[in-house]
Amino acid sequence: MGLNDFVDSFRNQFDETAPELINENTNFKELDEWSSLVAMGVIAMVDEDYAVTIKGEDIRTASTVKDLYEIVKARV
Amino acid sequence: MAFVRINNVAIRGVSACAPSTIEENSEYPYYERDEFRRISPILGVERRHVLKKGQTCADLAVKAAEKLLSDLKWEKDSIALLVFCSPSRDYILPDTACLIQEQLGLKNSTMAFDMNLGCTGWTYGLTTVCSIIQTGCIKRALLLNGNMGSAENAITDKTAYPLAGDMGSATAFEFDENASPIWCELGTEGQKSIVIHDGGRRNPVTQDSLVLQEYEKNVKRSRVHIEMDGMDVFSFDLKRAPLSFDAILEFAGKSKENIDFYLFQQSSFYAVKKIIKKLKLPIERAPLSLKNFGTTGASCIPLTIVTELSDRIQSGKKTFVACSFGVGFSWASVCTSVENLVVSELQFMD
Repeated sequence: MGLNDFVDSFRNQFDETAPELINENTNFKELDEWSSLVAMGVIAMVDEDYAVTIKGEDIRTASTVKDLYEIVKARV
Repeated sequence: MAFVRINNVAIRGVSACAPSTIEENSEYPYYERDEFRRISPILGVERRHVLKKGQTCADLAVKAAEKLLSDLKWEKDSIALLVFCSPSRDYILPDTACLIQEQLGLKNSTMAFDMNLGCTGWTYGLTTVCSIIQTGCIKRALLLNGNMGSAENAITDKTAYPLAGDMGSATAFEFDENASPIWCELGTEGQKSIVIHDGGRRNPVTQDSLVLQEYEKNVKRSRVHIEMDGMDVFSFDLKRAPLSFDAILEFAGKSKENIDFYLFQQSSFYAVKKIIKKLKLPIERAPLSLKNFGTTGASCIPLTIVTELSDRIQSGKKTFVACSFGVGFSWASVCTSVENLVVSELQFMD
């Protein structure tokens, strides 16, 4: 699974944030639009696209989009 | 996964009773201006029915039971097992089922006890009740369920209060050697992702238990209200529900095309929609009661039968899968066929 595809899918969970603000090094929880609803969208995306389960602890532990990617990749 | 197959028991009827008072989520006082409109497509709950002070969901379940017994034309003396399953019971002691035995006027030689499960309260209750009566020593049983969202959640918690409604329901079972088998699949992943911290023996209630803590703006609750890790709950729902659904079909030897109705636990509109989509199920066979009643816990599936399926399920033989999941974490799916099921009209209590 590629990092760029993951970042693209992650970016698609946001409706109001400029795409250039979301890349692999973004501290995603600091984005204005970040909320528990966006988190659920990310959990659903990871389940649908990668057949991987991530939980609250994973979202809490990851700082950047790349951190989350590494967590998901390890479980594929 | 635990598998249980029950023979010789038929589900004879289902009823539900809602409180008359309705609260509209568009008028919920702790949403900011425009917040309800923005989250409405995800929330999926427009209104809930709420009990008045002094009333409990057991009152609703009793009223549902009275109506069901009347519609079935069952003599009260013919019932020998009563289970009340709800996380909101009238007292810590005695069991609410014992008090309901007296209130309903059931005979003394009735086995009556409570179960505590929430979201899986109907499926686990059904598995338990049917397991007891399947040898025919007891011929008729009632399962009463209830939910009291208005009491379990703090009104000041906008992440919880607008989701859950109050409800009571009754389901009637009878020993019948010609009944279709009832297949059940059940499991547990013990976690406190949905928890009421204080009030049990682990953390007895103190004055501090009642203090409302502010977690974020308009998210205030105390330790005697439900605290939920939304991400963990959603993650569990999305993972477990489809696995349970597939497992019950395999156990029952059926395919999803053989199934007339899919009855899902509706803890959240977003979750149930994702699950239905993941399983590629036709939406017209997966009815929801969430919009007008909120999430109703242990009464969710019987309520959905009453409000959404009464015109389609009562005639002839119909096969359904009920798939429940939630607090515990606990999950259970049930697959069975019903024939000439009696579905009472939705009752209301002032």
